[in-house]
Amino acid sequence: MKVYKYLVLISIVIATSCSKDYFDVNGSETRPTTTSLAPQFRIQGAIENTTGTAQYRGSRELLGVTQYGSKNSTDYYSETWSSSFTTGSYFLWQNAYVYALPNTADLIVLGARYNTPNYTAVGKILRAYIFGMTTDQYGDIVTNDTYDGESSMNITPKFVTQKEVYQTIFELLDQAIGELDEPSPIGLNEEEGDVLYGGNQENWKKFAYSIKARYLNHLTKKTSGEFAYDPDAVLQACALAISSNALNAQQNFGGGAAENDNQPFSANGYGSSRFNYFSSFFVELLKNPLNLGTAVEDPRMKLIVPEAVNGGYHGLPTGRGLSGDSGDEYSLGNGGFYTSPTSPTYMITFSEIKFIEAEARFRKGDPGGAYTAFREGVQEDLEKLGVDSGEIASYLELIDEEVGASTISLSHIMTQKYIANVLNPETWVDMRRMDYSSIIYPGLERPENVNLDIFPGENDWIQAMMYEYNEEDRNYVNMPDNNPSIRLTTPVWWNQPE
Amino acid sequence: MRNKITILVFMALFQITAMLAQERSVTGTVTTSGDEMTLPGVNVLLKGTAQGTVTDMDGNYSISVPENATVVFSSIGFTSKEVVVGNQTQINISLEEDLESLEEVVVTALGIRREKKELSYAVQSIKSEELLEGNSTSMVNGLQGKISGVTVVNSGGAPGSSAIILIRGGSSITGNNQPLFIVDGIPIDNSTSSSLEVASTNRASDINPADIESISVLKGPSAAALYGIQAAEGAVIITTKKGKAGTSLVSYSGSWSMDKILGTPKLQNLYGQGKQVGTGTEIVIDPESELSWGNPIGSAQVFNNIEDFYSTAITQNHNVNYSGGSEKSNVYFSIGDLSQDGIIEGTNYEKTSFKVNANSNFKENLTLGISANYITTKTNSTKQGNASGSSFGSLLAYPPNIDARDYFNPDNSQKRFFLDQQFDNPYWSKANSPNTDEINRLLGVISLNYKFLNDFNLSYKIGIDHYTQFNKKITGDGSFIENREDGYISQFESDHNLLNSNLLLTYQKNITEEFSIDALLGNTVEELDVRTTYATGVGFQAPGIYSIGNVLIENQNISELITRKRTVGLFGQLKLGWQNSLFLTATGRNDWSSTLPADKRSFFYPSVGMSAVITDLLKKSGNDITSPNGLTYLQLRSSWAKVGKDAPIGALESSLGTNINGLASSAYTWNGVNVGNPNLEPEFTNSYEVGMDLRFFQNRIGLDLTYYTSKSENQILRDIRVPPTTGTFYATLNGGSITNKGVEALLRVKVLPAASNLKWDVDLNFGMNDSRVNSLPGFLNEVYLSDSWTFRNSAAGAAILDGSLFGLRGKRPQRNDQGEVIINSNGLPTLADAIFDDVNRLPEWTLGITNAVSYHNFRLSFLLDLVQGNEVYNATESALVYYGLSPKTLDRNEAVVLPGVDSNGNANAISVERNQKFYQDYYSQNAENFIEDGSFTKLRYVTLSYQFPNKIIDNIALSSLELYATGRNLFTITNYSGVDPEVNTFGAGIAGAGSMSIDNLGTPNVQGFDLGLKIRF
Repeated sequence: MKVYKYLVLISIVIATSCSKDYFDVNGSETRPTTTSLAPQFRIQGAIENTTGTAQYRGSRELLGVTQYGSKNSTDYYSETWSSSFTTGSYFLWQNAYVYALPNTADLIVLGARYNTPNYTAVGKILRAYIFGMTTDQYGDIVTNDTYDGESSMNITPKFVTQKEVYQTIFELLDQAIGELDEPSPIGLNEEEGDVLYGGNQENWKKFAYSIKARYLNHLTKKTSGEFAYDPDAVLQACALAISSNALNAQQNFGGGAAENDNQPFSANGYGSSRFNYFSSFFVELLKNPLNLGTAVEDPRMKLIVPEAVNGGYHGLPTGRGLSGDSGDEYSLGNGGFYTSPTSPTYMITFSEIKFIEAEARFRKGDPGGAYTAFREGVQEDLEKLGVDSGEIASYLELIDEEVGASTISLSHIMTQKYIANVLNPETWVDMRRMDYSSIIYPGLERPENVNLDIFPGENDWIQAMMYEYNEEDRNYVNMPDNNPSIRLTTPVWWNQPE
Repeated sequence: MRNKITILVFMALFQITAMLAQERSVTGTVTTSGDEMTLPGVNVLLKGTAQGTVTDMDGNYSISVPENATVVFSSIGFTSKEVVVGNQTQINISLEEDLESLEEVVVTALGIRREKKELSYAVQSIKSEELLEGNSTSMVNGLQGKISGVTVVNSGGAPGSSAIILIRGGSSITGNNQPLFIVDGIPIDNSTSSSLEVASTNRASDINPADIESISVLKGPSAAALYGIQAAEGAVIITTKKGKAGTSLVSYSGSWSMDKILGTPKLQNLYGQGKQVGTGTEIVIDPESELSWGNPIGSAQVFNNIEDFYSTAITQNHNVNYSGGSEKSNVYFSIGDLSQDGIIEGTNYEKTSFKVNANSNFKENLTLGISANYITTKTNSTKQGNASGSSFGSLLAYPPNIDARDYFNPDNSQKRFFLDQQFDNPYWSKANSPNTDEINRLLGVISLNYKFLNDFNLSYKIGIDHYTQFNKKITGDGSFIENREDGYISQFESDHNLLNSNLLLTYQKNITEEFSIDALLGNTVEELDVRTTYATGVGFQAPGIYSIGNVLIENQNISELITRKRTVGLFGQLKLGWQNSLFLTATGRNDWSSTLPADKRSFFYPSVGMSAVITDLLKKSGNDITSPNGLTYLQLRSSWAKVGKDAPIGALESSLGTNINGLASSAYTWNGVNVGNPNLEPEFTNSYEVGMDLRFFQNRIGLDLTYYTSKSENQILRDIRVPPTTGTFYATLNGGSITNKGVEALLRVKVLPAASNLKWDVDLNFGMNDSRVNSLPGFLNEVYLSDSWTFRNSAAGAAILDGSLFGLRGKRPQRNDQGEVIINSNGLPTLADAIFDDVNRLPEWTLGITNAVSYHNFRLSFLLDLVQGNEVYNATESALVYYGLSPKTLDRNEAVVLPGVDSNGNANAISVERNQKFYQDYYSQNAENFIEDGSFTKLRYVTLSYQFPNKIIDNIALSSLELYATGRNLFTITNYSGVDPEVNTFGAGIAGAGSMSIDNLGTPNVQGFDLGLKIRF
C-alpha cells in the first residue's frame, strides 16, 4: 500500500531527526561553563574572588566599626551603625554567597570529577575561610543549602547555627589537610592559577592550620562542651601553621591599569573613596602603642599612615566627618603601606599566628611563652612592613623593657594584633571578643553621632550585622529575626558563654 | 470586427449543437468579485440535478451540459449564482462574497481551511481591507481594536517602534508572552531588540501589510495546539496574496502622511535654572545647574524646549503588485516601499519589501509553490528613556529660561549652558550621536502538495527566515557625558537563521451520508541558529569616524554569542463529523526539544473539542427553531487543551565570566548571572474554553461569545531574583503558576437591510481578561525584570503574587500594621521597594468599535477604541518633578505635614518644606505618586474613501480607482495626566511581566493625516 510507504518515510524523517546528537546544540559555545572548565583554570578565580569580592566587602564596612578609618561625611552609616546597617544594605552577604562561595563549590566538584583531591582541598579551605568570615559577622548563616555545584538550586535555603558553621569549618579544614596528602595528576599551579602558594601543597596545609588556629581561638568565651576553649588545640594548630612572612596568605596586586589589578583601598582601586582618612583612634594608638606615660611612636606609623597635606599625622574622629574642617588637616586613607596600588590584601599572616599563640599561652597561664610569641609577632609584622632593622631592634628592646614576660597583658597582645591586622575583618572578631574594652584597646570610644535609637547605653556596641534585605525579602521564613535592634545588638554564639 | 466573428462562431456552434441535440462541454474560470482571486473548490452543478464538478486549484472547471441547461455555481462563503448556458462554451464567472453567509471559512492551525462551524475554539480573522483600514504601516498595529481579546500596545511615537501584542493576557512570568507568527505555514521570528537605549522594531512588522491577504488569530492553546511549544500564547496566521489564474492585474497603492506629536507634558515656566543648596532657612540657589529649582524667571523670555524639539513628519508608502496566472501556474509579485520620518528631525524608518509568490501545477495532483520575501529596513533613531543621551531625558535638563536650540559655539563645538554640564544637548545628539539599525531579511518557502488515492493529501513545506542585523549606537566625540568625551560606540551584528520543515499527511472522507472523517498526521523540524557579535569601544581616535576600528584596541570590548535550538514535533488530529453539524476533534502532539535535559526532552500533550450547530441539529430532527425575524443560527462549542513549552536556549548550564566587576578576578569565575539549571522540565498550560456563535435576523446580527480559563503551571522561570544564599543573583527553575480568565465577545451588526443603498456595518470587539499570579516559587512575592526600571529606579514592571502578572513594584512609604504611613523624625516616611498588589497595567476590558458606512461609491469607516481599567506608571512625570519642571512643583517651598503616624502611632505633626530635596528625594521617588488610571477612549482612525465609478475609469483605461483620506489618533478621552496612556517606552522586547503602560521618557505618540490612492490596471 502506498500509504504505508509514506508512513515509513515519515518515520525515517522522525527517527533521524530525533537522534541524540541532533539535539546536542544547547551548550555554550562562546564561554566556558561550570562543567566544561577543568579545575586548574578555576583555582585563580576561586582565590581572587575570596579576597577581592568577599573579603573586600567584609572589611569595607568594618573600617568604621573597627575604627581604622573615617569618612569625610558626618554620621556615615558604617561608623555610627545606622541607615544601611539598619536596613540590611550591607553586602558582604551577597559577595560571599554569589561571588565567592560558588567557585569553591565548583572546585570541590571538579576535584572529584578530575580525580584531583588537591583542588577539592583548596575548594574546602577557601570555603571554610569564607564561611568563617561570614558567620563571624552575621552569626547563623547558610552552609549546606547554598550552591554546591551538584544539587538543584535551593531558593529557600535553611540557616544553620554558628556552632554548626564552626563544626563545618573544622571538618572542611581537616578533610582538606588529608586530601592535600593524596596524589593528584594535576598540580595546583598547572595553569599558574595558584596565586597563593604557587602549587606548594605543604603551604596550603599550613594555611589550613592557620585558619584552624584562628577559629579555635575564637572560642575563648566557651568554657564547656564540645567547643570549650582549648589552648592546647590552638597551640597545636599554630605549630603547623604559617611559619614565616613568606608564607603569609595574601593576594598581590600589580598596580596596573585594570581596576582589579589594584588594591581596592588604594587611589586606583574599586573602593578608593571608601577610605577617606585614617581614624583618630588608630593614629593616636600608633603614636603610643605601648600606652606609656611618655609616648613612644610606633615605627610603623609613618609607613601605614600618610602625612596630612598640612603636615603631621592626624586621624579623623570616627562618625564625626570633616564637619567643616579642611581635609588637608587629616591623614588620607589612600597611599600607605596597606592602601597603595600594589598593597596586598592579607588573609592571614605569620604575625597573627604568633599573636594567636601568645593569647593561647597567656590564657593557659604561660606568660613567658606568651611573651616570646608576642615579641615574635611584633617582629614579624615590623619585618612585613620593611621597617629598618635598627628601628626593629630598638622597638623590640623597648618592648622587652616595658612589657616583658612579667607584665605582658591581653591588652599588649590585642593592641599589637590590631596594628598588625589593618583592614582584616578578623579585627572585629577580636574587638567583640574583648568586649570593645578600652582597657584592652586604650583610647577606644564609641564613635561620634552613634545611633542612639538602637545603642542608647554607653556600653552598647555593635555585635553583628543585619542580613541583607534581599535575603529578608526572599527567604524571610528561614532567616533568624532581622529586627535591627536585635540583630545589631545580640552577640554572636562565640561571644556568649555556653 | 471581433464581435462579429464571435457571433458567427456562436451561430455556427448553435447550429451544430442544435443539430446534434446532445451534451457539450462548457469551460471557464471562477473568481471572486472584487479582488478577482481564483476560487478552487466551487461546486458547478446542473440545476436540479446532482451532476456536476468542482473547480480545480486555479478555479478552472469543465462541465458537460445538455441544451438549455442552467448551471449553478456555489461555494462556501459566496453567494450562489445561476447562469443559463444558452450557446456559451466558456463561462468565466465571479462570485460575490456572501457576507451574511453562515458557512464562514477560516484558516486554522497549519494553514488548514475549515468551516467555522466545525471549530471547537475561537478563531477570528480579518481580511486585507480591514487590516489596511486606518493605514497602519505595521501589520501588528493594523490588528489594534479589530480582534476581540487581543491587546496591542504601541511603544511610542518613534518611527518603527515596536508594538506588543497579547492574546488573552499572558501566561509566562519571565518568558515571551507574544503569540507565534506564521506566514504561509512557516513560523517567523517576531523578536524585538532591547529598547532600553533606542526604540526597536518587532520583527513581525517587517511583513508588508499590503502583501497580506488575510490574518487569522488563533486565540488560545486549543486553537493553536498543533503548533506545539509556542502555542500557549495563541498564534497569528498570516496568509499572503497569490496570483490569480486567467487574470493579469497590476495594482498600485500609495499614501502620503503627515504626523505630529500627540502632545507634550505640561511644564511650569515660572522658575528658572538653578538648584537649591543647603537646608532649612539656609537654602541658597546655585544657578549652575540643569535643574529648574532656581529663582522666579520674572519677565525674561521662556521656552518650551520639549514642544520646540518635535516637528511635523512626512511618510510615504508605495506598493505595486502584479498578479496573474494561467491554469497551470500563477504568480504574485510585489514591491513595497515605506519611508517614514520621525517627529524628531533626522529620525526615520525605511522599509523596502520584494515579494514573489509562484505556484505551479506541474503534474496532475502535484503542486509546487515557491515564495520569497526580501525585506530591508533601516532605522535612524535618537536615544530614549534612561539612556545617557536620551533626547527626552536631556530636554528635561533645559530649564524654561534656557533655549535648548542654542547649543553650539562659534567653533561648532557643543555649548555648555552651565559649568558642570555632564549631558548632551538633544539637538547636538541628534546631529552627532547617530543610532542606526539595519535589517536584511529573506523569508523563503518551498512547498509541495500531492494528492493521491482520492482522499489523501501529502504536503511538504520548507521555509527559512534568515536575517542579518547591524545595529550601531554612537555617542559622538565632543560629548559631555562622563567617560564619553571622545565618543563611545556600542554595536552588534547578528545573523539569525530559522529553518522549518513541515510534513503533513491528511485524509478526508465522507464515510457515509452522515459521517465524515478528517485525519491528519504531521511532523515539523525547526532549527534556530543565531550568532551575534557585540562590540563596544570608548574614544574615537579620528573624530567623526564612527567605527569600532577607530578605537584603541585596549578600549575595545568584544564578545560573541551563539545560540542554537532544534525541535522536532510529531502530531496528529482526528475530526469526526456527523450530519455536518456535530463535530468532535482530538489532537495530540509530541515534541522533542534541544533546550531540555535529554531525559526530559520529549513531552506529549493532547486537546479535545466539540462543536454543535444546534439550529441544524434541531432542523434535522424536525424542530426548526430558526425564523427570518429571530434566530438564524446557533453553534455551541467547547474545548480543552494542554500545551507544553520548552526551556529558553542555553538555560541548562551556568557559564563563567572574567572581570565580572572591578574587584573580581580576571580569571574565569562563576558570575551569578548566567546561571542555568540542568534539571529543567517542560512547562504546561491547561486551557478550557466554551463559546457560542449566535446569528439573528437573517444574519444581520451576529454574536460570538467565548469564555476561557487557562492555567500555566510549573513555569520555567528564567533569571528570577532569589535569595543571595542560593548562590546566585538570578536563578532558572521550574515553579509558579498563572491563571487567565476572560470573556471575548464579537458583535456584528448590519444596521440597515441588505437592499438599502446605504450600508452601515458595526463590529464590536470586546475582551475582558484577568492574568493572575497564583504562586511563585520559594518565598518570593514578586518577580520583576530590571529592564523596566524607571527614572531613578522608582518603579519597575513585575509579576505580583496573588496580583496581576502585569503588576508593579516600586518605592513606597513604609507602613505599620494598621496600614498607616510611618513618619520619621525628619517628617518624611522611609521609602522601601515593595509590591503594589492592586496595580494592573493591562486593561480590565477593551472594546474596539469599527464602523463602516457606505453609500454608492463612498465609504466612511472609523475605529473607536475603548481601553479601560489599566494603571499607567507615569515615570516621565516623576522625572519632571525631579527636575522642577512639573507644574506640581509650583507649590515649592511651602510647608506640609504629611499624613501618617510616628513610631508610637501618634498622628504626625512634623512639618516639612516642599523644597527641592523634598521633591527629589521623597516625592519623585515615591511610586505611589505616579500611578494613574490609564483608561482611555480613542478615535484611532477615520477613513473616507471614494471609489471612482466604472464609467470614468473605463475612459482612463483603469479597472479601478479609489481615493481615500485618513485621520489617525484624532482624539483621546482620558484622565491620564501624561501625553498618552497608551505607552510602553521599553518596547516589546521586555519579556514576561513586560513594560506595558510604563511611561518613561520615550518619544510621545503621534497623530496624523493620510491621503491615499489605490489604482488597478
